[in-house]
Amino acid sequence: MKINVEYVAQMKKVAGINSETVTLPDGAPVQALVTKLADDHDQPFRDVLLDANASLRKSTLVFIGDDQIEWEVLRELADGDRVTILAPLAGG
Amino acid sequence: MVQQTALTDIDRARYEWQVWTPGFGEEGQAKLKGATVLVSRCGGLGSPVAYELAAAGVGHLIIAHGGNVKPSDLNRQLLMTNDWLGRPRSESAERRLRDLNPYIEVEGINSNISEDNVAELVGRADLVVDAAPLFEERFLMNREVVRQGKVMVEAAMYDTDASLTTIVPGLSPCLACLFPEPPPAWKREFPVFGAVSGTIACVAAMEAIKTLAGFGQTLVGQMLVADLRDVEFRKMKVLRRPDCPVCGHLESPAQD
Repeated sequence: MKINVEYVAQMKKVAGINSETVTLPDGAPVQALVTKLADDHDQPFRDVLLDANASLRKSTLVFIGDDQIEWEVLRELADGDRVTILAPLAGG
Repeated sequence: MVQQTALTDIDRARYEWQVWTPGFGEEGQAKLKGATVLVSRCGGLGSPVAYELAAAGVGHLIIAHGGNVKPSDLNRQLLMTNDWLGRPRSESAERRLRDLNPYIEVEGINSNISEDNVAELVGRADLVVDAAPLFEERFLMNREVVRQGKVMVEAAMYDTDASLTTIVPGLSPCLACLFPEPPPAWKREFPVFGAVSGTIACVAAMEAIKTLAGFGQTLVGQMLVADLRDVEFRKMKVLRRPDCPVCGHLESPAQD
C-alpha cells in the first residue's frame, strides 16, 4: 500500500522535502511507517524524529488524516492514508 | 467571563463596522472594552496580534517584550519603527498602539515572561496570547494559565509553516500535552517572513476576539496548521494526555 507522508516545520528541513510517498506492506501500523522513515533518511532526520532509545520523540505529533494519533496505541494504516509528522515550532 | 464596559459615542463611531458582525454586536464590543489581554512578546507574531486587538478595541493590552529594537526586527515586528532603533521594544510597541487607538490602555513591560513575572501578568489578564520564540517562556505561560484557569491562544511559526490552537485548561490539550519536552533542535533564530507570522497572527487575534466576546467557533481541541509555501490550511484534531503533568489533574467535561 502507498502512504502519503507530509512534514511540518523542522521535519521539512531535516527531510529536505515537504512530502513523500512510502510503500508499506498492507495492514502495516503507523509505527512501522516511522521506523521505515528513520531507516530511509539520514542522521539529522533521525535526531529530530527519534529519541535516544530510537522511539518517537514525545513532542513529535503524528496525524492520520486530520486526527492526531495516540502513539502508544497500535494503529493500522490503509492504502492512500495521509500521515502528517509535525515537529514542535515556537517561532514568534 | 469578561465584564462588559459601557460604550461611549466615540466607541460606537469607531467600532461601528465590526459591531455589524452577526453574533458580535454592541454586547461583544462592550466585552472587548472590558477585557485585559496579555501578549507575550511583540515580535513578528505578537506585533500584529496586539495591533489587531488594539484596532478592535480591547480595553487593556499588556505587552511583555524585553530588549531594544534591532534592524533585523523590522522585517516582521510591525510595532517596531526605524526611528526607535536601539531603544526599548516595549516603548515602540506602546507608541504605535497608542497612535492607532488612544482610547484603550496600553501597558508595555520591558521584559520577557519569566518565573519572576509570569504569575502576576497572567493573573491580571482575562486572556493570554503566547507569541514567544522560546519554549521555556511558552511552557512557563502554559503552566500558569492552567494553574489560573485562563484561556491562552497559542500561536507559533517556523519558515513558511505556522500553527495555532486555543488552550482552555481542562477542555483542550495544554502545551505540555502537545509537547511534553522541548525539542532538542529548536533555536531562537529561525527563517521568517513578516507576512507568514502576520497571517497566523491575524487568525490568533480573531481567536482572542471570539473567545472574549463569545461568538463563533474557536480552535479548542484543534490545531490550525498552515503552510504558506503551498498555501494550505488544515484543522487537525489534537489530544489531551491523561498523564500530562501540567493539566492531567483537570477533569474534562462529560461531553469531551
